[in-house]
Amino acid sequence: MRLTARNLDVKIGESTILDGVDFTLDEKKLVALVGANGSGKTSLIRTLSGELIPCAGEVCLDDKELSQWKQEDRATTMAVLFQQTPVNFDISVKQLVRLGRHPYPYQKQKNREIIDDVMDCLGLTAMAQRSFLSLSGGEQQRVQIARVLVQVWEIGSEMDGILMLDEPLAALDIVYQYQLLQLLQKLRSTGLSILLSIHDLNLASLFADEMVLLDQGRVVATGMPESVFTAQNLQQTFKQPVEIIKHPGTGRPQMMFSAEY
Amino acid sequence: MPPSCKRSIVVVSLSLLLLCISAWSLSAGASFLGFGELIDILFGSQTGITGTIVLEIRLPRILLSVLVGAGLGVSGAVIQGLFRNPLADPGLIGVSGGAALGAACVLVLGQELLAFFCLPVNLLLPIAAFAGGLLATLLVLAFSWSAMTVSVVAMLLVGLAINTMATGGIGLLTALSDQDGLRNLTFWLLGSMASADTDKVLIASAVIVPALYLLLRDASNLDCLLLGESSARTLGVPVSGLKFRLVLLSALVVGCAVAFTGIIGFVGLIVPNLLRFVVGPLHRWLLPASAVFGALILVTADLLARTLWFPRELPIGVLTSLIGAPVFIFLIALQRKKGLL
Repeated sequence: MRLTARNLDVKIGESTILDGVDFTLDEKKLVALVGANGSGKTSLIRTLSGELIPCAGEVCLDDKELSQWKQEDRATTMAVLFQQTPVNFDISVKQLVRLGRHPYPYQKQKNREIIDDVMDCLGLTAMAQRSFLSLSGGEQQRVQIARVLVQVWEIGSEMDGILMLDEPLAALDIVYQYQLLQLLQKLRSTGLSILLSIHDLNLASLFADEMVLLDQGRVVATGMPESVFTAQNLQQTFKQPVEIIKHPGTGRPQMMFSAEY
Repeated sequence: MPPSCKRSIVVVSLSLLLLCISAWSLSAGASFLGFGELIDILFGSQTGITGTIVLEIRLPRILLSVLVGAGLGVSGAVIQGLFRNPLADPGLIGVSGGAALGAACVLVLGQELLAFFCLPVNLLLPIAAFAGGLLATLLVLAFSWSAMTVSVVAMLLVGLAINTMATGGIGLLTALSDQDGLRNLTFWLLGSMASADTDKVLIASAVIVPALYLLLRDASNLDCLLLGESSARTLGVPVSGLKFRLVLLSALVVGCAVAFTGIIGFVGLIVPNLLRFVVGPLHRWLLPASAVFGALILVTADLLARTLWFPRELPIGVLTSLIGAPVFIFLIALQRKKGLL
């Protein structure tokens, strides 16, 4: 599956949120969306998922415009975790994860296997019957991630879908951040195309195949971490002095910002 | 025991209890009837005054209680799911108030309206109540709903405003009505099954039963709505159509209930909230359980209203409010404990 956007303009009221954004999420790629607060990461994900309607430009899923897709077909192709997913009811962890299989009402046995598999992968099996509301912020985030994963998960066959996660690492401790990113890398290898917005530039650099650096609704740079995370691009975006070193294991750029006094 | 087994047992037990209380309610009253006598009457082998009492007075009351109770229970659960808030209720957010104002217009201005619309009162009453309830729901939606969240404060404040407006409107109608109209209006506003008859049961069935069926069909879509509109859409739920359908059907059910029985508070609020403790928040179980439990509560309340202070009859809405309000406060305390309020 391939997701592309051409020349996207999004406005909310008088404010321009996205300005001429071009974007491509190729098959089997893990792309990280980075940028300062308010740079347009969430708006881009919402536009790519069809939640925000651009005033110019188009979004295509596999060369067919997104709005031309039937909603139920889109639901079996694309899963999205939005930044805010408030839950006000005392639902159990397993019940919430099961909601992710809503697009597949007639695959009861397969649904059960996928739910168990994903919950096992994310270490949620022991808390399956616990109330979602009784969990910590990080645990709730893992449950929501599981709910989104089951929507495009396959057992024993190649996956072929799009996964978009808006700040999935928020609230996760460092162990779960690494575990999740490793899992996403594995899923990318088995066929998923993944887009995630992320604030930790070093983690993005280590795990993603490509970067999209946004600033004030525009794409500053896009491509491999080495070409995007340059001192010039980063200073332009974050307005902070930055030193870039190579990661001793992977050779990927690692950033060290220092406060400007 | 698997959770689904436990939930089935709850629904079956509530249904059996509903049958038992309904049979008791058929027997109880000025003249208490034995089980054998009841069977004879129901199967037509006994007629006379006792038969008339059972078939034309008690049975319509019980059937109307079942229909209205099931309707209020399900629409309460649906409105709570729609607003993603367990404290939403057709009464609190003004739907019942709007419906009451619509129905009160017909009750007080009845003759003029009947002449204008050329409809029998039994039909015009639910239509007016439905229109009032629908208008109230749309107002609440317009002011409390944004793309990402539903503002509970806005929802309750708009509900308060609608209820105040409805109270004012009903007050005005009260001032305009004559002695008889005033008495009818006051008793009707407190909620009562006393006016139940076969016609009303037939009309209520024709409206409430199909509406409940359609609401139950949307149970799994409502479950997805618990995650918010955006997430529900990514799961393939046609959210706009769903919202429209749920609002329309809930207003129809509440409007019909208010039209025939007056305002019966707290059933729509308490029933789903109590059931969530037992069957959980998923609507596949919650909606049918709310239908049965709502019916059970109203049949029981009607039985108590008729027999507690015999020969006088208590308004059923007074009973449900007296019991429902403390339970509501308990639920608020529970929500605060969970950090949701």
